[in-house]
Amino acid sequence: MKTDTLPTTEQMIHDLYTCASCGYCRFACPVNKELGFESTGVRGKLLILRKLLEGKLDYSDARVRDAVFQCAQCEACKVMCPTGIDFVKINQFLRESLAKEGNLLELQKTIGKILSEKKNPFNEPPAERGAWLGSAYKNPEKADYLYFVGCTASYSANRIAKSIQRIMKAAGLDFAVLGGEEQCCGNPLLRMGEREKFDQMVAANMAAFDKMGIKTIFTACAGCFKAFFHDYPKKYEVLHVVQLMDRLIREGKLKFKPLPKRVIYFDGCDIGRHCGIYEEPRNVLRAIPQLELIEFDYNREQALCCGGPLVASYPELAGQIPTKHVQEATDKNADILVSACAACMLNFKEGAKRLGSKLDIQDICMLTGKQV
Amino acid sequence: MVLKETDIFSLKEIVGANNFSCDPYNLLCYSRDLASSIPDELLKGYGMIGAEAVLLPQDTAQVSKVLAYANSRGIPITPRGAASWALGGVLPMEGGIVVDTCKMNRILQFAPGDQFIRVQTGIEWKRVIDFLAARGFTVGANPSSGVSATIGGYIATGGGAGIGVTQYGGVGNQILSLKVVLSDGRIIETDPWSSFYFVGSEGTLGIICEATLKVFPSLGRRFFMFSVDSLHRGCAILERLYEMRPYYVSFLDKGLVKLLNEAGAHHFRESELTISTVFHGTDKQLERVSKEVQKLFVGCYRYSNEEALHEWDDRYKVGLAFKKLGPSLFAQDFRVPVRFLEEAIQELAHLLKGERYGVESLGGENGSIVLAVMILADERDKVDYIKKFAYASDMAQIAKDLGGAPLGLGLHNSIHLSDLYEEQAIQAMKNIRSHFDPKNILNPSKTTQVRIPAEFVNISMMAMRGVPGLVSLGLDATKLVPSEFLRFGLSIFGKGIK
Repeated sequence: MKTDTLPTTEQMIHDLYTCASCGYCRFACPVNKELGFESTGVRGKLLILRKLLEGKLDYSDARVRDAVFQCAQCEACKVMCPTGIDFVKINQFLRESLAKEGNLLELQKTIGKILSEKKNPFNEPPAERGAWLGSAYKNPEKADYLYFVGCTASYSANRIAKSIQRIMKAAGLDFAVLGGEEQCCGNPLLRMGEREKFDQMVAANMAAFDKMGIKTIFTACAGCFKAFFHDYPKKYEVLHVVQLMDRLIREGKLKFKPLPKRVIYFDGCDIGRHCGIYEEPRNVLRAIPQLELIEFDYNREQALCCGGPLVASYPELAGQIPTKHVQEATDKNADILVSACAACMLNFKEGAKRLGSKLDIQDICMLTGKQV
Repeated sequence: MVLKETDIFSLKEIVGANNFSCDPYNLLCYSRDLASSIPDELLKGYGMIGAEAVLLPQDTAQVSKVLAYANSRGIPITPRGAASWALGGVLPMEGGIVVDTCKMNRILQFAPGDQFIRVQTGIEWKRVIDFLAARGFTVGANPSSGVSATIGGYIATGGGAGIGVTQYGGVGNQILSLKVVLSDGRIIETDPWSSFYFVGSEGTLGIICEATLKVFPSLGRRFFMFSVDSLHRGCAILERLYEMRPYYVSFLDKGLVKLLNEAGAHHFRESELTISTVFHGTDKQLERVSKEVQKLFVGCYRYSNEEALHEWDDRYKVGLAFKKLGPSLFAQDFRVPVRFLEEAIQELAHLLKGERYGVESLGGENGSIVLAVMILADERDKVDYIKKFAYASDMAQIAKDLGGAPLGLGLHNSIHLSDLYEEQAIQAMKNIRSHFDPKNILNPSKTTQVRIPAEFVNISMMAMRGVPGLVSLGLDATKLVPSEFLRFGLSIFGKGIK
């Protein structure tokens, strides 16, 4: 989603009437596949919007809010749409309009408030953001690379961050971190439609980057990466860690120990459809000797979203969507389900819990970190 | 309102609260189909009540309970697949319940040895085709809207146009059995012969819940794409191609190519016809076919293999990529014998002079070719849209004159029923319908139940063309007149209902 080029009202209205009502958008929509009703799919939403615009349908705060926010912004509909409608842009436009009116879901309002105050969505103290590094940690004197840790790896999934430390040490790559000066990238706020608050976080993070004298920012968080890639000023080279690992492997600097496991890779939407990163994570996994890489039926551009982006708005729905992925991975006799997005990983774990599945689910950094 | 509080309670209990909706936003969505550009006033003029509740059953047993209940209370039922048909077949004319089959979407059995697959009919064709492709098999006939079109929807709308039809015939030829819920809730299982009752039944005889279809081992494929500068020669080539029974054959006319290029979606060479075809077969068969195709198209511009493959990969999408130029579209599909294709294209050119339109073809069965005629429109200009809508009658007439017919009846084409079929045939269809559905709850006021007499429509359209101001007057009047009054008028002036 390139939110920096949102449609004008005129373009949006044109798109509403361009919809062919063919229903192709329903094929891969994670929300519509779960809930079923037309009003939860893009075709239905565009029809509803048209009729609201024409004054033929009564406006309802709650219904409109659901129609707008019950969307993972995964862009699967855009891939399918024969008329080229970019629904995610329309959706973002509507989110920003609703946010301006203060018409957000209660859960979003709460998370938004926490993000503004604590600079992370977990209500954790900002000062403890770099606690996982240990008190003895010091940034190298000079580093071209900055590892942007992100909220999830800083607080709730430290193992991702520690794995990256191990991987980069093995590859001989020095990097710096912002520690307590790092703030949330702002992506969750942008997804809620809170553009002004997002812009404030961008400014704070950019100021911190500028002080570091770095050339490249890398992150393992797909959401952060997407924000840097599309919505931050283009001042530094930005890499997802799988791109960096792929580069280090090709340069012969990163090697792995064998892992005789059957691994299924999931293309998360944030780095996949949104940023076009499909082959690098596969190259990384293929570099692990004896690892057998298998695929979901729908992969790369056609991958079916896990529902992770809905966790902060419709957690019950979000947790139900990945049960299908976990089931498919199990049916394909996968030993490990791997993603390159912590949000996907956590949501898959929720899906597995609901299914009662013992499937091993890992972030790609955690998996590769153990093999260096 | 047909539904009562007690009905809502009982129906919700059958399918579960999560699969039941009376939400006004949903009711709107379920009172429209692919042709969602049609002005609301026109639907009101038809006397449509619209959906009162939507149900998403998950299996045959639930459908059976829903129908048994509805039958006992005389509640109208409108079955719905993907609603990717533009003929109003899923519009809930008499109110009542819409049964959306989208949650009946499982693959129940795949038997590669016996070469069949058994599925719930709410599953999309693309999903079944992708599943089979990963296992070395493919299907026969399948729709050109396969990303959304469901197995059940394609069967119920005839399944005689699309991909694979030119090689394997219509979908009816690939059905081994169907599990169908009749109007009173009884579940029957058909054999290949009796399945034909339900092929093209347009949701009027029962709800098709499961289908067992023949599948075919994937063989080699060869893709071809040519542009032909003479319409006469292009039509002659297509006639010969049809005799060769390719898996896929489609053309884009010069109007469509121009519009696609203008929309920036494609970059085709401008010519009278751009023809794509795909053959399935063994290496030896494909070698022979290859030589024959090249001979057939000698002197024509040939696109590269990559371009032809891309066209095939894009087969579900290509025809709609120009829609944004409208931004709306009025579309009508009809079939004509392939030998009359040239006449059909010429008559369309005469009829649609001055319009921005394109024609795409789909494979048809029994030597017929299906033409999808797409006219750019802007639904916000309702007078202009209605004028374009009126072309449907003219196109039906062209089809009939050339020995063809519109591709199905649904709501909009039911007015042509008596023009298209002999009285005896119509009576036979009505007899079958009343045998299967004596209380007339299944998809009422469509197909064999003509909502508005064709004469009335034709006279109205002629009058409106002569005096365009009449259209806006008619639209305004429809807005003002209460629905009940319009329905009463239809019940007096309409013919053929019941």
